Amino acid sequence: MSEILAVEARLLEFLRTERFSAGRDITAETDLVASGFDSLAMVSLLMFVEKSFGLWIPQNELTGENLQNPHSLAAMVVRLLHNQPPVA
Amino acid sequence: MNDRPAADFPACDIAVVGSGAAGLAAAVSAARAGCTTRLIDPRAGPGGTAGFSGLTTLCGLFDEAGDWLNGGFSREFAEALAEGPPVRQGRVWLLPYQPERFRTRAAEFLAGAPGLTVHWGTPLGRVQVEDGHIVQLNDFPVRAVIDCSGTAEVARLAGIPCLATDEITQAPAVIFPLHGVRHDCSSPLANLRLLLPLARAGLPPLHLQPGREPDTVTAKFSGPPAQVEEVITVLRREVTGFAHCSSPAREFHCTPRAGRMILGRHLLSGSEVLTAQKFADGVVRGAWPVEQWNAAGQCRLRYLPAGAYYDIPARALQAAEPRNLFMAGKTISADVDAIASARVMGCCLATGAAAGQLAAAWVRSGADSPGTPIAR
Ligand SMILES: Cc1cc2nc3c(=O)[nH]c(=O)nc-3n(C[C@H](O)[C@H](O)[C@H](O)COP(=O)(O)OP(=O)(O)OC[C@H]3O[C@@H](n4cnc5c(N)ncnc54)[C@H](O)[C@@H]3O)c2cc1C
Repeated sequence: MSEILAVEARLLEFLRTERFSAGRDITAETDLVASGFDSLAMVSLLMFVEKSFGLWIPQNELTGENLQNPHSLAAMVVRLLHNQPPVA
Repeated sequence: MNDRPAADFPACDIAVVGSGAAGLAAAVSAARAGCTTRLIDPRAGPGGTAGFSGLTTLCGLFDEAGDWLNGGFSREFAEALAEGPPVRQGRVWLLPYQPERFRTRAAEFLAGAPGLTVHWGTPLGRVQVEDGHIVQLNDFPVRAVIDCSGTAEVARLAGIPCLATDEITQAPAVIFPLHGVRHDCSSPLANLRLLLPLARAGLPPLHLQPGREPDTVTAKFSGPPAQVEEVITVLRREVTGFAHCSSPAREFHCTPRAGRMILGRHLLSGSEVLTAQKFADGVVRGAWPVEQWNAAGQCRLRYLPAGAYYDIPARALQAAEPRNLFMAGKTISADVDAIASARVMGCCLATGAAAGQLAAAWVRSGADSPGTPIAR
């Protein structure tokens, strides 16, 4: 769990500087699409994830559940870091 | 419709310059309103960007509920062009079409318009202004002119003020068809699965719209034409649904997005568009979001309030000076934000039809009739 929190913190730091700098509040539970994330914004976030954690995100992980908020994304990252398959 | 060199002809009431969506509508509408009309275009036939660039979706015809925004010629033509129902994409509706069919339908409408002469292979060469009016165009005297060139060629030759073109928020793109594709263009996740591999390869993004045929899409690519082959290779290798994709296009080139707008009696602003402004002399309804594209291929959409539309006033289709110059399509009097909504083809058809009627009314009365209501 603490590993997920650590990943979450990195994601939030990136999002706060890159996307929500205009003083908007973002938490681990902020719905990304609802707060204006389009496909290209999502791409830049995923590119950050791949570079920072040395990951390659397979196509089947690009799901609405995984990309819903920083928390779900962090959970996916940790799972991929441990080579675990997606939860069905 | 006659088809002869311009030099053989005597005076006409109205000259239309350019035969894209706007010029087609303007010429047919002016002729139907009883004016002898000439249409000139350097190309061999009608269609402009709508007929020759590879685009396959007409935007700007419908409001958010999917109802027609404008009646008259724009609807008549769109119905003649359509081979199926419009499709919804997020908050907007698109009408898929075949560019070849756009060209043949356009030629048929032009041929059926009374008192209309077309001059293909004929660029605008000369514009003569006297006493504040355009009196001659190429070799023939005219009473009114409609600039539908997309790049304000009439204004440029006549030395009439234009607004600066904006390639920063209206970046050009390479448009090409992709065949053998299984992809849901309206699914954000499907688009993400396509965009991520391109970003990994350091390639600019690709935007896909549904094609007319099953398993085909139309791609808009923000990078240079030379990178298209590489894009296709990455898609084939890495994206589900694209393993067997290919493009039938023989060559790839950039199509400019930016228009060149002529200063009219009213300058339609982006804030008027976004606040759904109405005007007493409104002649066209628009509802397309303000759609900006930068050179990195990022698209920024700003929508009108839910279900709303804005008016384009007659005064935005008539030049401040000379008064017998009208404009339609990408040359209407609009700022860079407003044209980022009004430049879509459905809106170009509607401003063309309205400009044709306005120019005809002007020729008949010989004067301005600012509030003339026009049948939508
Ligand atoms: C990359 C891209 C994607 C787009 N995607 C869409 C889309 O999906 N849906 C949509 O609805 N719209 C789309 N648009 C916008 C739309 O296609 C254009 O804004 C619209 O077609 C412009 O129509 P027009 O009649 O004003 O000008 P044009 O179609 O450009 O017509 C101008 C005509 O004037 C002629 N001309 C030029 N110079 C002269 C001259 N010197 N003398 C005489 N004639 C001349 C040209 O030959 C041409 O026929 C897109 C545009 C671009 C660039």
